[in-house]
Amino acid sequence: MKKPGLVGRILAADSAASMLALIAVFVIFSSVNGRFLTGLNIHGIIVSAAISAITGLGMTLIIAMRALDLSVGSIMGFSAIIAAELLAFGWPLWLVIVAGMLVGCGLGLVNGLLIVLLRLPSFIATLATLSMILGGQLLITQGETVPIHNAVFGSLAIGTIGGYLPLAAIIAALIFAVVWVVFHRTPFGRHVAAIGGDVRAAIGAGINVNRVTLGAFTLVGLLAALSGMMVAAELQNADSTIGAGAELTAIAVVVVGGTSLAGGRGNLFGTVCAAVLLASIKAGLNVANVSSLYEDLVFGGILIVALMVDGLRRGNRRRGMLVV
Amino acid sequence: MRETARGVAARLREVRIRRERSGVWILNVVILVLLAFAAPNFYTLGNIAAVLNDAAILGIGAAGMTVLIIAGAFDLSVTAIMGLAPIVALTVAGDASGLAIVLVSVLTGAALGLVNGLVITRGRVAPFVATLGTLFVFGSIGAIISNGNALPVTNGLILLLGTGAVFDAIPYSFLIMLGVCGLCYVLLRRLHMGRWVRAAGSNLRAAHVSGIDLHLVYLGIFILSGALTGLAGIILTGYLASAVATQAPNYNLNAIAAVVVGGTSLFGGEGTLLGTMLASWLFAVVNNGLILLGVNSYWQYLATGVILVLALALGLLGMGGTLWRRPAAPARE
Repeated sequence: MKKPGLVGRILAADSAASMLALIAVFVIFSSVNGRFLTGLNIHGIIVSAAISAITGLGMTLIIAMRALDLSVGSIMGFSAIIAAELLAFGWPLWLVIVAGMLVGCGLGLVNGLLIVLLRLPSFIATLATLSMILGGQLLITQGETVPIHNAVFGSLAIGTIGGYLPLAAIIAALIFAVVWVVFHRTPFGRHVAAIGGDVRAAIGAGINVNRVTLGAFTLVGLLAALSGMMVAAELQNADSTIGAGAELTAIAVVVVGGTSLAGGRGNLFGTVCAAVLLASIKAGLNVANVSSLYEDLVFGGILIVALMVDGLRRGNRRRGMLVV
Repeated sequence: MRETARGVAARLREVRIRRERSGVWILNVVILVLLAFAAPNFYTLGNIAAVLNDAAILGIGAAGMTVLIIAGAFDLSVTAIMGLAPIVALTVAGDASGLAIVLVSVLTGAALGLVNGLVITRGRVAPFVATLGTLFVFGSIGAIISNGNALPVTNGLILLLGTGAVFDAIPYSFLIMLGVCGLCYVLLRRLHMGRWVRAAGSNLRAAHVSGIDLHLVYLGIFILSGALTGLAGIILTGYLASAVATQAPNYNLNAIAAVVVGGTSLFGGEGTLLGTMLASWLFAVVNNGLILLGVNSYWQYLATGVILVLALALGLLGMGGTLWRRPAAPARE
């Protein structure tokens, strides 16, 4: 059989949909409006994409394990609030960031323990913690906004190196590299994929499913905490609206990136593409003076079209059967 | 005579508390007893009516979600339909009679459900992600039509639907919820459709091989869920006296929580409407009770999560499981 050429290989890749959509969005927006490709706008896209990519990379692992984490949005907000409160107490910056990430790890571990010990489905366990952590946020802040008066913390999101390279991009690239190595080059990553592929087979192969589950949920908690703190750094304050609804956006980003909810596979590069796509749509509509009410319409439309193209592309499916 | 006795015995067994629902029963009893001591003013006619109204708005949508989850599907877009359907109804039929507004809202919900169903069956997309996409799309359309504003409601019938009650004790919304439950009960237990729904949920491939028209089943239940959500949406609009695209935040997750707390398995195939209704009532009781106790309203988020975990853990015990035993593997979504 003839090997497919470069174009064929790109089209067959799981991340093809998000890459093509990304290119299309860039071409359309930059041809419609000259202000789309300015440095400031690109910088905004990179920061916003980095934040959603970091949570999305963690979610990719969870989805590859055929689980879901609905609590990432709440974890984002909670750790952002903790970080803001600790900064107000006068803790040193590095300690605040470490503490915020540890809080995320702890909350992720709680998710894992609920799943492993009580044998709750991940969907239910994290739905419960979504609500509980949100309650915790509101009880800490009493519904108020916690201001952040720390310029160095702010640079976590909006800072640049040499005036060009955004710090957020470097953080996201670092996280991508770490998660990629963990997923593709360690036993832990292989076990995550094995559990997602067939949990019975994974148990039969001697994989400690409980330990891998705990590890994966702790990791996604940590990543969510990091992106939550980056949102707070960008806004220069923290309140309970940070991360609200972010769990579904994160799942959407992962799915647009070509990772199937059926588990067993994860497409980390696709997730990053989809995160950049989402950020570009927002920035592009903003530059074109289109109301932000249209953002979800465009992103949701791309999600549906990408999934339908994917469903039809896989072809030769039995007539009348469903994909669940 | 013997036969009759056996029949009665069988009937009694059916009525007995189903074990997978034990969690929601236990929590209901415990919390209602606690409230009798902690907040006696819970047991006033007006307050019970308010709780029933809250429970009904969640319960109507959750009834549709129960049917979907039994069939092995989810609908995440109900949050958006709750806002979009009343907005369309008020925009199209705002000056018409109240009945016309309700009808348009229900039909809009059904049409949006049809869109979901078509994306899932014709587009070959899994329900969870398909409705995740339409959640964004429908939500955005609702915001665009209303320009992000609240549409005021002046129609008397709609306001009455959201706030009125028979004898000041039984809200109209609660009566509607009973009707909806009856409808869903007949669908699940008395029609062929119910068997197809359960067959699809317990083993999709086997259902397909045995000749069940899965596309028809899925289209049907998504239209049903959409229509019921449109109905719940217009009732909520009457309650709030305005329609906003984001009027029911987290309705999707709350409805799923109610279904699961009620003892329906997330893995599909089997489930109970009564459990879902008890769970909707439980959530409404807890929110109301916390307000009566004068507790900061932020505690209700915490309480929702705790109930979810407790009800499932208790239900697990009720089904003969043990907690804390080292499990072979965590439950899979």
